[in-house]
Amino acid sequence: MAEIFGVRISKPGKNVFTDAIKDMALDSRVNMLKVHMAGYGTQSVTTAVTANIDVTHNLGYRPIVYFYFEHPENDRWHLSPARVDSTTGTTWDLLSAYDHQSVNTVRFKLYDGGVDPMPSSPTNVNYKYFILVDPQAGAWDE
Amino acid sequence: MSEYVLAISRPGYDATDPATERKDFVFHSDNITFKIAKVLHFTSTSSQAHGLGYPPSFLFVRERTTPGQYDGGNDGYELGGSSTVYVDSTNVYYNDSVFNPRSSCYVFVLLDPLNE
Repeated sequence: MAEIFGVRISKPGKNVFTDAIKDMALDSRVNMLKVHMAGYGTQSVTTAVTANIDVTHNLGYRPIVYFYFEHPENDRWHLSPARVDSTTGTTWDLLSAYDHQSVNTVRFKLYDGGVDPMPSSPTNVNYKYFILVDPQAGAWDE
Repeated sequence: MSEYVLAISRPGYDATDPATERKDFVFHSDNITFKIAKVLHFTSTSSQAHGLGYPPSFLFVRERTTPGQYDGGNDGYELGGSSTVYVDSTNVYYNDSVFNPRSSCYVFVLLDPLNE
């Protein structure tokens, strides 16, 4: 479809009429990542038991998601999927991954079962997630 | 939904049509968008201050040893990969992969906090 209308906002110093899309702060010809929902919480994690955090978004498709978790030993936040271990400055391992349980639910996982277990089980782990409006596949493909 | 919104649909879709799905908007003020505070470049295992005073969300891409090739995210657990980029209230830390080293890493530090 020929584009007749559109919205463009250029970066400072750039020309909204002549410069490239990469020089726009916003251009309605291209998609931007949009957050559908975000959540912050604390999850109890027990050694050798996967702690599941199920979030229902009801989008009807599998969206892009970002899941972060804080290793309580040094208060550093990691982006899932990730394995936190001695190479990242902690004495005990903490792992994370996620999967889409359905087109309406995503499951975030935390696990302590590595070579170096937590000294006191269970332990609370802080987490933050962003579930985007944008599908992980097929967005604006057609 | 808010009483007033700023909404911009993608080409070919009507922003005023209630049937237009949210994924077919370029921008909708009911949905926040990630805002980049800064982009940090690492060439070795090290840390850099982000100056935000809270742990920020972030994304990253790593440059492979083959120039011009990039990948995103951490190495898989089955590869022995550990977390490579992490943050606290002060710093962004880059921990280059022991098993699969990269030439450099670009970290997009976002304004959105992780601790609330």
